[in-house]
Amino acid sequence: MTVLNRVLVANRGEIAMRVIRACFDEGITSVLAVSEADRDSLPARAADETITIGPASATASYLSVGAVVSAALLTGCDGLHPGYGFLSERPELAEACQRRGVTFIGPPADTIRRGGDKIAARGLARSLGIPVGAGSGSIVDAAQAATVAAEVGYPVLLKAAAGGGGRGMLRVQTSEELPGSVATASSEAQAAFGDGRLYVEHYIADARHVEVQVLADSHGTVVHLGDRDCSFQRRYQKLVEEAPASAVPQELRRQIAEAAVILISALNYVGVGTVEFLVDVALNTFSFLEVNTRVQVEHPVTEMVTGIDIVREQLRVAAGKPLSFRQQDVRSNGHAIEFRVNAEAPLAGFTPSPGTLNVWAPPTGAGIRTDTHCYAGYQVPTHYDSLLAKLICHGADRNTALTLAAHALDAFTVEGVETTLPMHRALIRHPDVRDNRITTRWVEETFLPGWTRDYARNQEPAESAK
Amino acid sequence: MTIDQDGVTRVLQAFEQEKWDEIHLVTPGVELHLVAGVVTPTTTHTSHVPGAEGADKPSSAVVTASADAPLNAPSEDPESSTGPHNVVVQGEPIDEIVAPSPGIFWRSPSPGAPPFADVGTRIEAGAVLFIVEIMKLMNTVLAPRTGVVADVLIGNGEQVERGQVLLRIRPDGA
Repeated sequence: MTVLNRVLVANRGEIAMRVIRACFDEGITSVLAVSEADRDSLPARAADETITIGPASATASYLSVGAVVSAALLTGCDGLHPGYGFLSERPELAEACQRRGVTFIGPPADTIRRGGDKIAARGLARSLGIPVGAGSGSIVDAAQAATVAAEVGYPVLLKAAAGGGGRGMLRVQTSEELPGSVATASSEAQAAFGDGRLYVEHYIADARHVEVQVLADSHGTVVHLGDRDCSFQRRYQKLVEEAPASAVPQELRRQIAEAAVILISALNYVGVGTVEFLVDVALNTFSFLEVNTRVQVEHPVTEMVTGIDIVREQLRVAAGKPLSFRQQDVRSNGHAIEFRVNAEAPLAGFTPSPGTLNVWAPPTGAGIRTDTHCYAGYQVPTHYDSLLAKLICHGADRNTALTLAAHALDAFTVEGVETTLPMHRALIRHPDVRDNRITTRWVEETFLPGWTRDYARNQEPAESAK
Repeated sequence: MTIDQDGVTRVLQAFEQEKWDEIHLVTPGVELHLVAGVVTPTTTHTSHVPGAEGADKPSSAVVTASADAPLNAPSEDPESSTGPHNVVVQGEPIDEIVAPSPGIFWRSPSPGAPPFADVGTRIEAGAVLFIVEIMKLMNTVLAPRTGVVADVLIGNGEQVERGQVLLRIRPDGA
């Protein structure tokens, strides 16, 4: 059996804090890899040891396979946790770890490759009888895209085969727009992922984003921890996530969870993963979107309702241990909702807002959890993404969780940078949210236009809402 | 910090076999800088970093104690920067192009690609000059009018402040 005694945490920000905490709980020594910009960060203080792996620019530090693997070797680590983002879904990292005798805390390289390539994963899902949205395999040019688009009907979505985070993704309304959009999406995908391959998918007008948290150990056990609803999105970026996906009919949720387990089993999966689906609200059907072969930003909402520590389980299965529970042990209690607090100005087109956090006071109390790397006086660097914290609220049912969240958001005080908190405070009070009438277009098409209009009319809606 | 000779040996071996280009690792006891095809540096310093004395003495020629590394860190104090320059320079018909926000300066669309604008490049009005990346958002800066690039005042990938002059363009007819 593999042993994990020392783990290199190859990430930063709140997820570095989260992994360091899980290592502590598992009795594992944590060594944090930091760039020069993060040497004085909170996770650098929380980790047992730190090693500087390169300059602030992520390309030469957090995105360098050589930098993170050599850091693990130099510090005598037997495991490497990639967190999310950065190198977490690069099969090259898993392979380099394997060659150097370091346990990669994630699925095997081959699984990352088969699950991470969107076109290959769609093909696999289809072969397993899992519904896949109407569309194509890899398209070679705009002419082929036009043929497929004509078949499935406009509007269509162009997506990057290697994609993620909405990059290389474009909605195309008409055939006239298609050639230009293919060129734009392909070059965007090439720039972001070094892979310009695209595929075409039918665009579902009223959809919910529903995903299933799955865990698998090396003893052949695959379990799921239920679903999450991540329909609150802006430009395909999640803003708010909930567990469970209580707006979706029970029978559909059961089928979705079953499909997720079938797919993960077929991938010879070991580790934690998420299978994402779109639910067509009008037709009451679902289709497979993609597999994420890493721990996700929104994993805490599932932890809150199941009481299972996903990152600790991830460390356990990486060490060859069996999962600490069985499917029949999984219970979902109440409802949890997570808000991403980003250093962005939501009223100014979500422009990034780095700076110094003069005041940083997250709320506390029963049912409230804040995952963060921030503190009063922290300088938010310009080099990395804008996530400052995740506020997670858990209640006995959805309404209780929403009420708690409204109070917690009001109490969350940040000064020095603009944040998405004022947006969340308005969003949580919107009647559509209470009634759970949300689709993936709701934030952009319903909520934001109304909120910005109200804000223009009334100078301080965030304050008066308090 | 558990850094022993074995760790250094493992890294040296991996560096060669994995064909990595460059790594630069700094721990409280050891600094290790390897560049493909180059063996640097070749000296071992006596460290004066508190606590470093207790670390295992590195014996490999490519290992140096990291006494100086933390001191070389660039100042993070915004007051120490020279601040925004005037956009118009007195008596000289030249466009000074400034950073729209703090962030990272990128001169080319992707690593290894030719720069958008180099000294001597003729630039049409509206053409892309450079990108300033802030928190993963790419802000593209365009040429205000047609001219020839006179100066590029900053290196690729360097940190810039809002308002800092990054490029100077001599407009046509000047």
